[in-house]
Amino acid sequence: MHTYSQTVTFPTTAYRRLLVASAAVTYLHILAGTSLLLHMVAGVLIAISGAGAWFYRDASPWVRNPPMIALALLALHLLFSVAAIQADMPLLAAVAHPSLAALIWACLIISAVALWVPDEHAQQRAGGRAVQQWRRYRGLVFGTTLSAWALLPLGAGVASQSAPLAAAYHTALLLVLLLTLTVLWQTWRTRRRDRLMLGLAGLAGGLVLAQASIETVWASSAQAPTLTQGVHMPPTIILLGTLVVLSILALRRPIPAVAEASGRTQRRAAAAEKQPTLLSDYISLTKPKVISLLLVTTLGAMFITGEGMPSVALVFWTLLGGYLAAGGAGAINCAFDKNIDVNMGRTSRRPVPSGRISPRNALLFGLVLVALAFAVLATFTTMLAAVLAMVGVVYYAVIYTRWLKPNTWHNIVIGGGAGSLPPLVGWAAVTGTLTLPAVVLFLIIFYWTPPHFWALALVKEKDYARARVPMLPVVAGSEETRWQIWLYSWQMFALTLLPVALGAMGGIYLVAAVVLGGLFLRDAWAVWRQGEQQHIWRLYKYSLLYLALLFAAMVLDRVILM
Amino acid sequence: MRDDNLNTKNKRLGMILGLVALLMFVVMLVWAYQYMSLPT
Repeated sequence: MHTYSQTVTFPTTAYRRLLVASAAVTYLHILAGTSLLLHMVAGVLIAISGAGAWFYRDASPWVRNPPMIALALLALHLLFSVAAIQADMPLLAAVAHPSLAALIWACLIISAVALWVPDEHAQQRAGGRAVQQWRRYRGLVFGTTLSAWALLPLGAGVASQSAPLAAAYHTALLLVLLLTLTVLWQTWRTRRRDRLMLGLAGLAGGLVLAQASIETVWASSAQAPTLTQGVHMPPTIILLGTLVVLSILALRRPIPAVAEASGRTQRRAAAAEKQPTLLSDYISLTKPKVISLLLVTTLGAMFITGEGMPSVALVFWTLLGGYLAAGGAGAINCAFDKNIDVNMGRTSRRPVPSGRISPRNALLFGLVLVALAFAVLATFTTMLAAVLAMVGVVYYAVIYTRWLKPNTWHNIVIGGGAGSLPPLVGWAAVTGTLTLPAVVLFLIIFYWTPPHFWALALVKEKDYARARVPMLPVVAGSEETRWQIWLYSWQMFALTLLPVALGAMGGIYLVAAVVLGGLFLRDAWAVWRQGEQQHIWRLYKYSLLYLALLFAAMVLDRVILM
Repeated sequence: MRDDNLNTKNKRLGMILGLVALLMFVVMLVWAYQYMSLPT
């Protein structure tokens, strides 16, 4: 393997050879010589830009500072290159060389864009939803840009051929992929009329998607170039440039206040006017949104059993069976809960309370789905998975709905067991048995359910009181509920660390559990101490995201560190 | 009027800086390409 210093010294000798007519010159010498010449030309021009910025005193800080910073970085860059030759520190220098170059490049882009694009910052009125949206958008774009930049040192670090660095690089690439796609989605959502920004976000999304797919294909091919050869650099540099331009645009162009923010409200109004069809009514009986979260936990559990990757067919049948079982239980719940749902704003528009589907038909529909679920799971997965799914159905549709919910304020705590079963179904579908880590998964969701659901119950307290459902806020009041949320959040947090203590999970999961759990506790603390509607609502929404991300982290941990 | 002049001047400066950035981009590509082609 060549060392980094070769890439620096080689051009120098190559350039000397080019000047001596008699020496043998290869294609590589010409390339290296050209590289060195270009380096020098660019270096001189950057120095001139930096000096020019110093004298352009009228310019705004965004125009004036970056070229001067670039000049300082250039000096640092030169220092590293010289140090690399003299002290032969291949890794450190190989990491520093492209990362510093990219920073210098970013400085030039920032200043150039700032000179071109007028700053509309002052046009945004203070306060309001659009301002908050804009602040979040900027944070998102900056974070994405920073992560994309981190790919350069990480990717170059892989030159040391160390496995943890390669894993870190691939994790970072996945993160950048997710972030960039989020940026694209948010750009579409908040400012799709801005063709330039939408185009840049689209370009970034396409680039990172292409890079991730190429690396995925390479990962399974023996002849593919390795990361050590630096093939990842050009696409990463282009991605970084695109994101830098997007960042500075995001800073200078506020999100339009009314024009597009109301798109969702309009769609909602349109959806409310439209009469639902019979088919969509039956689908809504299965509560598809709740089920999607349950299925994430099933899917997550399937990947972390320690028996390697489950087959695509097994995943398909398990998820189908899981959907049918949970959907059937949901439909039966809708049939039984008619009298409660009628009295609640949140549920009064459901098909059964509004009279579009009779309770009898909903019950029949639910039972058919449950029977199908048993058949699918027992035939294509394992009997234990099928039996566990049936336990979940009875638990939710009978024990929770008929017995716990109308009678005791413990309904959510004990009833949470039903929602905690999906990972066990996934686990049993793969292994045919249940072991201690599976039980821990069950417990995590069991302790997650009360803070999650009580947050909703706090927001909808009046609804539950009117329907005479003894939810904790109705029975014990808001303060006691908020205190219980805080306590249960801590128990949940402690339980999420258990998989690491048991040796079932590694470092990636630990970091994710601590960070995600810390955010959960922060929100739960705000609910307990301040308890405004906005805090409660935020905890409720975050708790949904939290569970999905926690299970995603488990999968990532096992896939990478296995 | 003064604003217009300033605007034109800024755009010209921005273009020049953009060209420097473009050159720098080429430098990085050539460097990466050379890094890739060196015998391992």
